[in-house]
Amino acid sequence: MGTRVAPSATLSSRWVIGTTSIAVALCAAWTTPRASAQEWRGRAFTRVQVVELRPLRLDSVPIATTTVENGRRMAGQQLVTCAPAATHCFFYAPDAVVSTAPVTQDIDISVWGFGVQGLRVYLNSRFRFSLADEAFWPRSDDHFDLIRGYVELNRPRYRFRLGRDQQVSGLGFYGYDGASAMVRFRPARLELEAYGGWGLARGLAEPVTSDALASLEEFQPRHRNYLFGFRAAARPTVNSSVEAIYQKEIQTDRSGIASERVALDARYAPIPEVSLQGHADYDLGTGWWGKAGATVGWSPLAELHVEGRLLRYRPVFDLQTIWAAFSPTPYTGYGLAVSVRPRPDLSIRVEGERRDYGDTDAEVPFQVTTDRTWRAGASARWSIDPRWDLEGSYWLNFTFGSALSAGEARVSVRPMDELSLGARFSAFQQLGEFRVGEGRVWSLGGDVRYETALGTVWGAVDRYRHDRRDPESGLPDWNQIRASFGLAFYIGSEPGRRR
Amino acid sequence: MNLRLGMVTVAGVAAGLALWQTRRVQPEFPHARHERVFPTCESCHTVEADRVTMPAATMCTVCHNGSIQPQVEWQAPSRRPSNLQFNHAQVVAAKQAKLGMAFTCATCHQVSGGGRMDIQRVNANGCLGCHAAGKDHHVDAPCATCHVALTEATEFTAAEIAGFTKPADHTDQFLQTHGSAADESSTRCAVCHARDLCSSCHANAAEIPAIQALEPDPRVAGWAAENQSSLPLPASHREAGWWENHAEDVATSARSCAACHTQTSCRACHVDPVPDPIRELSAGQDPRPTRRVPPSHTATFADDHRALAASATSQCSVCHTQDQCTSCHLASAAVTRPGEDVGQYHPANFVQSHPAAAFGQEVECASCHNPEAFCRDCHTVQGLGSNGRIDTGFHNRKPAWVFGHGQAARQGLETCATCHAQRDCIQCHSALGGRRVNPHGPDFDPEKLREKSPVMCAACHPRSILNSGS
Repeated sequence: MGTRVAPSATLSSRWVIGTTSIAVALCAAWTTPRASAQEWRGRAFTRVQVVELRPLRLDSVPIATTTVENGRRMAGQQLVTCAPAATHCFFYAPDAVVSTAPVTQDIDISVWGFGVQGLRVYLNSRFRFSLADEAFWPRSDDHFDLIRGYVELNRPRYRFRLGRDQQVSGLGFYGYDGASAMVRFRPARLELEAYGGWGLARGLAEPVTSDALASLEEFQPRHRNYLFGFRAAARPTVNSSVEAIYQKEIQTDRSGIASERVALDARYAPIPEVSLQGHADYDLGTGWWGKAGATVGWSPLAELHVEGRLLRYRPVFDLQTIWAAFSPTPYTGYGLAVSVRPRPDLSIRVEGERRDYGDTDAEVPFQVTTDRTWRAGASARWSIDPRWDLEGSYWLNFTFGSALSAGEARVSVRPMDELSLGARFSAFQQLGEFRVGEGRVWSLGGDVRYETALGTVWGAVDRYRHDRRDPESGLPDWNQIRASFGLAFYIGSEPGRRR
Repeated sequence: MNLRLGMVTVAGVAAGLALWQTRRVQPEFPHARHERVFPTCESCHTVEADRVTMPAATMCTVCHNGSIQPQVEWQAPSRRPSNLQFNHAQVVAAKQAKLGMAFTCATCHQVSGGGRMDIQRVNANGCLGCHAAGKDHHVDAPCATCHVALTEATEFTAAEIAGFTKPADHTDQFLQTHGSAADESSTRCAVCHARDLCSSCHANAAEIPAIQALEPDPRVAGWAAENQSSLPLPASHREAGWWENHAEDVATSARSCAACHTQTSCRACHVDPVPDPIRELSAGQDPRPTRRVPPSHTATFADDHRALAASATSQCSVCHTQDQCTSCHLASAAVTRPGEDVGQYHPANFVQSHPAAAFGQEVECASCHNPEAFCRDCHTVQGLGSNGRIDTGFHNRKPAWVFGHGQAARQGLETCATCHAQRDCIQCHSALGGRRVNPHGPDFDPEKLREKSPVMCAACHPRSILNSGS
């Protein structure tokens, strides 16, 4: 009875796409020594994951076969849910274990040196497929994304781009197919930019009309959006910077807007030991402030950094959905973090935060959730010697929908400069989770990383053991082995890499 | 018996003393004791162009033959290491031309107040008494007038070279300004320095004529290799904010940068295509400057970089390429960072623990993940997505959850949307039908929303929208 998404690609098409993408990566590696760093820069990054999933399926039993124990309706040891006057009660049962191996292949290429100073072609693309069932990993059946692809003319005073690009600002990441123009005024370190085109969906390199959003069903827009905006950024002094941006998305049928937002971001360091930064965005469509925050950082000593935070958060929804009509409630957070380095080989960080939610105007006496949440954490790293590192962290979250207690530790060694080996252990306990129950998960794993002038090969394997704390839910444990492998090749310079 | 032993002992001691007396080595020729033997200096020495000759040891044996005088072993002193290009013959001739025969060997070599044969090595202070800077007879000449290049002064050891007295102008600040001095006269530098010393600091030594004008010298090369020390940081590099703004210095004084830095230095941070001044630098290897994490990149910078990334985008682009942003902000399988090309934004077991992060809104999930295409699709496939039923047992299996979910929904609407479709909510929250439960809460401004997006309102209020539009 569980809902499944049917695989949309045949094995042969996956094979072709997979073979092609790996061939591209290998070609990139093969050409690395031959390419001039002055004219090319590229990266081919392959990642393969091996995962086991255990989907749930909705099942039912006749209500006549159920019993009531302590006010809860059970079918044997299984807790079930029954609607009033229903003939059947429902529960989720574990389905068969599914193994899959999603593959992601990113290709990133910059080409310049066409004889025109500042002229560059940039491509950032992603291939995806799965070595097993594509239905069980997000977007595995969508085999190609052009994330960015544009022609750029970049001179000291101005920059033009034409093609698919993303606007990175205080509003987040917004992709569009169009053009942008930016002018720079060096004496004032001022940048002015205008951009526009056909917009892409948020967090996706696809238009809102794409099949990738078919699950919106009748709420999926039938026409693309126009997106345009203006941005100004300045560094009036050496120790300050500020940015303001206005952006609007209009439905191409002019039936309304998808979003209209402004954002302001600023940083200021009055003295080297103190830094101030703040940001805020405002949704002109709903009249609500979105995220806003202020941070004060203080480093009285080179070995000590103290940071205080004030944060306000309200999620942003496109006005093409109905979510904004449900009046999401913001929270206000107060946080403090301290980082110390008592010895050159030891660093410690401790932080805590309290968040208070505003009035939801929806509380009911028998089902009140908390409106105050807490987060705390500590982490440390100790370089035992130049070859050995030990690191660990612990986090504690009490939120309105779930509580988490999690810790992890890792020891790593570099037997040679090119090779790193690590062993790691983690444990976490999840309580009061709204959706699928409670449990404790342990994991033990190892990782390896080998770096050469050509690129990097790495892999990690973790074994998880899951002890459920709610056996009456009937949900399966999560015991499994997960592995991931990666391969990266580079053309041209890559900061910090071995040469 | 005792008498014989005593005689043998005395004879042995006497023979030993005689042998010691006849074979002892004269450490230095005792000029004063021979004053009456040698009436003039020329009796033993001859002034030649580049040196003064020493007498042969056989001259001593004329008297010190064991009969007239005890035998001695004497050797002419070896030539003292020097880089002076002093021509005795020329100096003597010039001085005698000026002073007449009053200028003799004794003028320079006789101890002041001593007898004719109270001889000493020449003390340079005697010359400088008249010829030093500021004196009446100051000779304002380059060092090379009197000194040969270091590479020609082969008698010096590396240690002796290292012990050379520094000229007065070689102050601590001289290191910053010595370039112009070297440009003016590399021959002056060559008296004490060889090319290898410059090359040990100058990354662009091969491109500087003044350095190339110097000869290489293995003694200096060896010393420089054994005495590598960290270069002093220029004063400008210690100024607050210099790191963030060094591009302006590069634009105005790229030549001074090139003294220590090659393209390798810059490419430790800068990604291609790099600014033109970098491409004009030498392409040689330069391991000294190391990449460092900016102070702004604290432990939580991955979560907190919004303000900096937004207000100083051009700074980010120095070290980061766009694909590195995308690897997080577009739900990539992995994250790449400069110098750490394989990493993960989320911990390894995040797929299991992410509900708490999502409810707690540690960060804005939707800035990287499209809730429909990433979250809800996956939840649906795993059997976690809603199919519109309200009796399925989720939400801690609370039977009355549906009647009290409002608070949780308003606090975490983003997480609701990762399992629930919009139609799930409209079953009850619509003016069109169902239970007609009002979903609008605090701060809801219907007029503003109707003005901006009437289509959204029409999903539940088609009639009111039509009426207001008429």
